[in-house]
Amino acid sequence: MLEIDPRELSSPSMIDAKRDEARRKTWQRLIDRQLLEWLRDPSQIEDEGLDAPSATIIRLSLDLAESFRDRGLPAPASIVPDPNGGIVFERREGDVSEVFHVWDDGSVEYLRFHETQLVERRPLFPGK
Amino acid sequence: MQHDVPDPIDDDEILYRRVPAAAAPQRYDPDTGELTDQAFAPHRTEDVTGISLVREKFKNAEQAARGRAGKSYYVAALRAGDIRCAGMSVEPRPHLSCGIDPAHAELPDLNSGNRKDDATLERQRVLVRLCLRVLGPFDAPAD
Repeated sequence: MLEIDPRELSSPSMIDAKRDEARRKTWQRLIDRQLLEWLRDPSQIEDEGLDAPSATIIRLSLDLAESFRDRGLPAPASIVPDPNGGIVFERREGDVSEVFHVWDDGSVEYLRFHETQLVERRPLFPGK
Repeated sequence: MQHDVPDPIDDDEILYRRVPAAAAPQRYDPDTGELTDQAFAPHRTEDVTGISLVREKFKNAEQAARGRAGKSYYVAALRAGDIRCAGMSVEPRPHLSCGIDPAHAELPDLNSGNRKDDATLERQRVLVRLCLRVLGPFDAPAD
């Protein structure tokens, strides 16, 4: 019989591993249910005043999501299209929102808001 | 009715912002009740003079939600006075390229030209906070 010390179950490394696994699953769910689904049929997003993201933008967002997943970053609360064919990843914690915005020109920015105030904005990837 | 001089918007007027419900969860998630700031993000070519709103004085929520055939829409309700208190202007804009619609209004401070500005991104978030309620979804009848 395998002996497991109950203290091991709550050791920092075990907690980290569980947290990482939970994050990975959340990322994967967003990748599978949203980004891959949008890539399969971008027209489902298109509407009046709402341009569907191009395959290039969706693939760029997929690369970003997979990179964040593999680095163990916390998963976003939402991934939504902007009206112009871009895609926005947003994570919220209390009054702080962190955003990765993939713009329609392929540029990627990191933005951090405190409540409604933009407190940090920096480019991560240049666009066309 | 004479529309040459637009009917001014009172502070107590309710204004609706149409929010597409396609590919949920999107701009509004009915499960969490969260509206994202992208509901107020300007389009790069269609919001040259400002993002559009619909005046409740002239159209109810279901009428305001009317969009592309076969699609579904929510509407986010805001009070004109709240928007003004937050430093944004609200203008009646009944003259459209397709005719006259007395219900049409715009927020000129959020437009195609400034869609990536810091101030615009902040204003989008202010509008989310000012939202009184989200109604719908309403289905647009198929052709």
